[in-house]
Amino acid sequence: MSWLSFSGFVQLLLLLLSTLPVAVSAQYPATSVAKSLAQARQLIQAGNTTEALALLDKALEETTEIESENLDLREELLFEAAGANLEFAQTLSNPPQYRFYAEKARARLLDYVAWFKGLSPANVNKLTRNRIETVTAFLGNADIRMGDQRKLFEDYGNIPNVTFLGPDAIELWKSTLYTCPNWQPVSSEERGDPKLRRRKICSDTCTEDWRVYASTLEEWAKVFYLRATVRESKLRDAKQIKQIAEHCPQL
Amino acid sequence: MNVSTVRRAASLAVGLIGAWSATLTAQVGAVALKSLQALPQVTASTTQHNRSVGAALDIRVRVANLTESDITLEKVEVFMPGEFLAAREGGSPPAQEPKPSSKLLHPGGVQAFLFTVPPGSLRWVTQWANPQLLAFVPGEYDVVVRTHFQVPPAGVESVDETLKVSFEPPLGVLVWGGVAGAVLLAAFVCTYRYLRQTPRTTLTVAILQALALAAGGAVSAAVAIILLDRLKGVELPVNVTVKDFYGGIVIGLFSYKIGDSLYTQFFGTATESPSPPTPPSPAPVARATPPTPAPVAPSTSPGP
Repeated sequence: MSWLSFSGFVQLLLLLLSTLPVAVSAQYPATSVAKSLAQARQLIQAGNTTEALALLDKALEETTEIESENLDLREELLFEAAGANLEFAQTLSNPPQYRFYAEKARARLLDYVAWFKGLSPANVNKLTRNRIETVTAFLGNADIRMGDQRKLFEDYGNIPNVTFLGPDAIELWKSTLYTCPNWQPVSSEERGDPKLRRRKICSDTCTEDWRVYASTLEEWAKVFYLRATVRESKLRDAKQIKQIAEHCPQL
Repeated sequence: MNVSTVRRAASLAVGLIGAWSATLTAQVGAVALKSLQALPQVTASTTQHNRSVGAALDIRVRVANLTESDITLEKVEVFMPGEFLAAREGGSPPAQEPKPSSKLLHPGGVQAFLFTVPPGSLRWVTQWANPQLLAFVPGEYDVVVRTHFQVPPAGVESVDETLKVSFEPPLGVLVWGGVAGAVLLAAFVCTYRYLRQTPRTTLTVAILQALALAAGGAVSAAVAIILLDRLKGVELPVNVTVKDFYGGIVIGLFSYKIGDSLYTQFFGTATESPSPPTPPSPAPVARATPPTPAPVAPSTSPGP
């Protein structure tokens, strides 16, 4: 080995040694977060939900540094945190308590939507699991559990891409619109009544929400993968709502 | 200002003061109620058939959510008193956690827990070797039931409930006290006789006498203690209530008298041997011979 090659070898060794701590520090948070996630799951199974939620919050803070490298981990963590909060909100019976956890779930779900929006198509394809449709459906559930149906209209209206909405979210949006303005449940039989439908769409405080829904439904039906008959039905429904909404002042 | 105006003003002032105090009371009551509403209600009970410190014990704990909030039950712990644990050379029963599915107590929900304290491994023969058990003082002790709970989203808190439980030493400890008292008495009597009796007996004889006296006294004391524990209205030469080891020692110290008394109660006549522990007569001292009294003719009439 000549002196030059030896010097080159030493330089290479030093370079490798200098990069080692960086690699270890990048690996460590991911391992720690994965461990926290596993621990949180165990805690939820053991019934220590609040402890698990605190652990998930902490893990979420840690993932902000590694999100670009561990997409699956970030996705899983956001989904688990939101799901655990929402599930806990569903089990509680005291209004201030379940509203608190529903609000937390909503915040996490909106984080998921915002994070997902920022992903490039290539990164979206890299994801092992794409649960954006489930997330938007959960978002509506969280809004309803908060007792704030207006938030549901607001959140669904602000979804950055209509393809994020799945059939469940669309159905939930529509059924919630039927409860407007008094927020009383309406059965599926009652929904078939054209008079009730007109009255609901033309309620002063709800007409604009129906219009937003109809526009989104139209756009969604055009781009979402649906059977031809279903697509036609959805487009017809959107058109009908718009027509009724336009004629409301004359009723 | 006339008298009627003064009266009206006075009555108005009294009325205002009364209303203010009533409002204040209501506010204080509301604050107190709110603080109470944030805690689960914990009640603990026990059915104690045997008060002996070595006996098994069941402690029932009932946690009720009388608040308006949902409460998460984390765990329930039972802390036995220190004297109890020292006497049994054991620990408190392990903490209990509710099942994951029933951890959440909705308003009005109730969870019950049963803590079983197993019987202590207190062998009758070896009880004398446990100084903590011998020194156990009978009485009412505090058993603390600690409930860890959480009112989401607040952190974990705990609330203590104290249960008063009476414990007393086992019968074996009292009997060992009686034996110790009898041994003390035998040692005293034999030492006293050995030192003061003339002519002095040999040491071997003194030891044998001591052993015999101790054995007899121990049996008498044991019988007396068992009778006192199980029978009411037992008449003994000494009026004593035996509750602990030291009470047993007292019985042991009076074991000869008690033995005579028991023998009389059982068989009607007292035995004359072994001789009662009376102090020996002092050695004859040389002194001037007193004048001999005149002989008196024996009386033929029966005594009174």
